[in-house]
Amino acid sequence: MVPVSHYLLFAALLFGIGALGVVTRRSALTVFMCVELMLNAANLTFLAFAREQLGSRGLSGHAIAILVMAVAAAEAAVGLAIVIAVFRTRGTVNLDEVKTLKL
Amino acid sequence: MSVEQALFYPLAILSTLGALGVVLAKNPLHGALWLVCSFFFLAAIYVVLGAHLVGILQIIVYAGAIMVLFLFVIMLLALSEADLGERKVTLFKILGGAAALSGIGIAARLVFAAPPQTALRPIPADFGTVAAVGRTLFTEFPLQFEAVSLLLLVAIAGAVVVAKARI
Repeated sequence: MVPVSHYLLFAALLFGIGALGVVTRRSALTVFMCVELMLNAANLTFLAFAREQLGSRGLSGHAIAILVMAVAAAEAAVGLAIVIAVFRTRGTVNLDEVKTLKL
Repeated sequence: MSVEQALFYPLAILSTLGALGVVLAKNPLHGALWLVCSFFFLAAIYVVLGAHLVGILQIIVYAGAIMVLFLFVIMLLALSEADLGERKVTLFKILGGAAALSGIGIAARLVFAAPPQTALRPIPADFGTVAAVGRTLFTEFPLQFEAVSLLLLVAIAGAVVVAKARI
């Protein structure tokens, strides 16, 4: 028997590791991957509570997790297009240097 | 030790190692592969939670489509750690790292200080199946479903326009 809180702690751990990566890493691509990690942690939280509730409320958690996945896909597509555009104009994706919108 | 325990704890540890691999990898390509590894173990945890459809979609959509897109872009840009220059330690990074770690610490303290909880009820037979989740998605979340499909259409058009050299 695994208590729900252990699933939630694991989700918090993944979220914290993703947040650490977002704050610390310089490459925009690595930051993006850490954001995806945080989204997965949120998905895991939804599914853990769905496992606890069961019934139709639980299935709502699954439906929301699928919607979160679709939003993450859209965000990844547009975000990577932005990274490509930034690389084309600035020549770098180092977030320590790409700090302002002004060239 | 139940089957759920025997499955969840090793999978969680492996998934956490994959996540750490993403954050610590010098090369973004290695980080992307670590993330795919973490997503696979996460999908297995979703199945342990009874979320069969979400677990399979995790593999198909996240590990199979989103991460492949990441790998395409990483290889297109062909970056290496040497291109990024000197490593700078700023106050923002220190504070942000401390905030993330303290967040994990607070969650851990809450979990281990909590009173013993009742066991989770067994999963019904049709929980997390395609029919059940589909029924819920189309009866309780029709507006959200249509909004997300519109969002995907806008994202397709937007990604093409933003990434083009000359519109």
